[in-house]
Amino acid sequence: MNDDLRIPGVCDLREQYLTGETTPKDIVQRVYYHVTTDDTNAWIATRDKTDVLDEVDELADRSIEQTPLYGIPFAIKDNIDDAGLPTSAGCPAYTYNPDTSAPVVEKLRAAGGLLIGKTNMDQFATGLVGTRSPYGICRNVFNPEFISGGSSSGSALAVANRQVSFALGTDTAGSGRVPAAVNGLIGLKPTRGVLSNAGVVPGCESLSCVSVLSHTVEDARLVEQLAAGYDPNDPYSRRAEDLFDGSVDPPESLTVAVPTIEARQFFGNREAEQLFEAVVEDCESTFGAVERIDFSIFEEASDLLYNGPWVAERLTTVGEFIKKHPADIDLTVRGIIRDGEMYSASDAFEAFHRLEELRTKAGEVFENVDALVVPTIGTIYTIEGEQLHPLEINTELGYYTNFVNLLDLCAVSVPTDRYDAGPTFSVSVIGPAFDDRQITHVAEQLHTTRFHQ
Amino acid sequence: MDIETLQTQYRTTNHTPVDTVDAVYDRIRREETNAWISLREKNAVREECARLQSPAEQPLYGVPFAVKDNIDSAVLPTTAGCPDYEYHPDQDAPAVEMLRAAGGLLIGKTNMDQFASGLVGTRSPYGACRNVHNDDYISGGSSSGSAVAVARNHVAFALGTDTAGSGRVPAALNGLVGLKPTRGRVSTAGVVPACKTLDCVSVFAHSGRDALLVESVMTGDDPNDPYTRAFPPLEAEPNTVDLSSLTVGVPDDSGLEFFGDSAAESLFASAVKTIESHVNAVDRIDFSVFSETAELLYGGPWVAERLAAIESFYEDNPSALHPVVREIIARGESYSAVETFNAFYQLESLKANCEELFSAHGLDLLITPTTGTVYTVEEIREQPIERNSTLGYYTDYVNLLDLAAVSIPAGQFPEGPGFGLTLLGPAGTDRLLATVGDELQEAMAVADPAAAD
Repeated sequence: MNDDLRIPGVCDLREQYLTGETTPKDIVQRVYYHVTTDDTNAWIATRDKTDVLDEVDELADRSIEQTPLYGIPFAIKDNIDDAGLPTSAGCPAYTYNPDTSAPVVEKLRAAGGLLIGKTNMDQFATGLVGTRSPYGICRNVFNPEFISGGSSSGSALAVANRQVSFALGTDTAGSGRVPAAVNGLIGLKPTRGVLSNAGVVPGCESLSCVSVLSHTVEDARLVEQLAAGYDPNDPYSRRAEDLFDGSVDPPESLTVAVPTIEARQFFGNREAEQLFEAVVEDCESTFGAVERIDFSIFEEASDLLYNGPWVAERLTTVGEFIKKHPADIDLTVRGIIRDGEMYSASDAFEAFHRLEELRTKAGEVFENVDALVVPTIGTIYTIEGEQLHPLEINTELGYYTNFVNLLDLCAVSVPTDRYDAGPTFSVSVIGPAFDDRQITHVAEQLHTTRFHQ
Repeated sequence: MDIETLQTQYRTTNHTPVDTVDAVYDRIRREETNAWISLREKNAVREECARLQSPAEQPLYGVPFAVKDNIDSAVLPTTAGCPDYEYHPDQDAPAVEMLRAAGGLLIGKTNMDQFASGLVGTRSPYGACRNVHNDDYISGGSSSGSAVAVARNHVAFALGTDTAGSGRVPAALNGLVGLKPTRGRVSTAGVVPACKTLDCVSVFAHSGRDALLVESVMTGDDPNDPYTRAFPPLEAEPNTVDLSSLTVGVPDDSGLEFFGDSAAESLFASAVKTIESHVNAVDRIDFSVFSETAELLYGGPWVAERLAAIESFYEDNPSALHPVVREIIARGESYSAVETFNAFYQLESLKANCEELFSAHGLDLLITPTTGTVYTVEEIREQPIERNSTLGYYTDYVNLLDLAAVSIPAGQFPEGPGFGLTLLGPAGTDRLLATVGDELQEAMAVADPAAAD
């Protein structure tokens, strides 16, 4: 790719606009060069360039100082509604034309952001791989033999390939963090309910979050803040007015936890093991204290997500559709979602009760530590390997991500290194609900220490 | 026998806790009430009196009390109203332990609708409990024995449990105050669950003041009960209320249901009239959010939560269950996990609507009848399930919507049973509700001297 055509991240591009180095019109031209020549399967639908250019003309009336996303191009995953484009959730037969845009999209556009299009995804957000889509497989940006991760696969590629400045994904079990992790991006999964889920086709309605994929932690934080807001139309929306106010604690006063060596899972990948150990060493020199903690409650919660009644929650959204259109569904996705039918209400309540106990125990962990640092994924997978063992690999991929929403935590994935094969190795910084600001600052420390570009 | 009077006696006369205990056992032995499932040996309680400290040190010094037989004490077996289910707990439930540590004298365990499934007081192999004012009539349930034991002055207060109204309905029908605290304020560890996500320990007493005193002794976070929640202490809520500053909601005409009972209708109308003359405003509100929520509880998957609570016992000993209880719990088998998630979404919306209703009308509290009518034991035998649902019309929704409630006496049906009003407020308004309840009781007594008898 011609370096001159690369689209910078949010804050960098804004800086270029402020200094007059480039203009929104020029950026839109560049974006559409990428979009029209894209061969990565990143996009499902894009807006007409002329519509976006008209929007740029309207920006002329606004002051850049008071328009935080002035002329910033972005993409959204195709399970998030925009009134001008169809929503497919990665399933052509499911496609509908929404009347209104999701509030998160509306807010970003109102802040001056330029929506470019909708991105590819694991169908119905069911997968952490990026291969389960009739719109084509997404491949890792650093090595096409490897998976891009999913389900927000296209959003990760569009940002990592510098086609847009940032993108929205969704994250139920790790869909916003896993694809960020292997493609060198920041993947911020906010506290549940801080960003409205209205106008989103959810994985699991009670768990899903809109997430942010970006180049820097600062970019992710800015986008989260602009997209956040209580929404009376989303019953899972939560009030968090002061989430972005106040100061954060300096790193030397923080206690960070990592899983004990016995609890770490790398699924045979020695390289990942070493890359994580290097991060632990960094944590020791950066933060006040590093504690090794028993990881069993997190592991148990992760297990509940796919081997428990939450699979049935996926049926609440698309169950009827799948019954009517079985042939239109990805085989693996259909298998996973159909499993939801086996669970009874009594199973569901038993799992809720167990989860409540696990939440209490997780709460106790976070009384003593400020953040938990884990690998985002324990290893990396080739597309070939994934196709041979889709379910096992999906479970392994979720080992460090599945529990986060169930336990009502927030998380941000940051790259800290590269595998020899190319994909990035990333860690997730995890904190209790409403600690979004604190975890992003911890993540920023680790990102700049180990991965300064 | 109320707590305040008893305490004054201890302080100002030579009446001792041992005297109280002797009197308690005399009364219990004189009467045939089916109120008790098990009683402690009188001598054991007398010996406990010797270990009491002083009225100044112990807020419940020498106060005799009962607990419903689904709440554990180490000194008596727990049956939950089912002889075959009986077990011998190793320790007191934290709520009981705290009451005893505060000087309360546990006398015994009380009768109940089996597994707390019922609002009638007749679903027990230990015999039907009868209304204290007319023994043709039901006592109400499921905390039937606790209500009867307090109403007959066997004890000064009693604990019940309240999932769908079990702490309020029997209080109302027997002329008592029934306080259902905010969910999570009192630990439910050591309580046989009905619906674990909804259950509360409740208090039967002769006044709101007494009930609040008991609640304040029992509150506190319990690491062994994941459903306890952090609230400011009860004492932090104001303990005086200016009635003339309050805005009170009552159901509008289309929301009121008396099931053909004109006596109840006029009792409620006259109570509202008295309330109107004391508060700032009475607003007629749309009751549909509450009636829709009530329908969810018994017409939805929460019956499966009852099944989950005793599933292995139920499967191994189906004939050990009361036939009506068995029929209800068996309904839980027909619900799927998918239906459960859908019901949770519906509930989440209803919760938001309820919040909106309180804020749109500027309501401090809501007042409804506790029951819209009352039945004879015979009438309940004829239609055990339908008439039970009728009794829950004003109570079923309360825990689902996360409200606090207190039922206060507000006159009597012509045949004798008590007519109750329920005061409802958002979580954390326990003290407000109980305090307003006491003041309204006084106001109603002045308005209608006959009702005070």
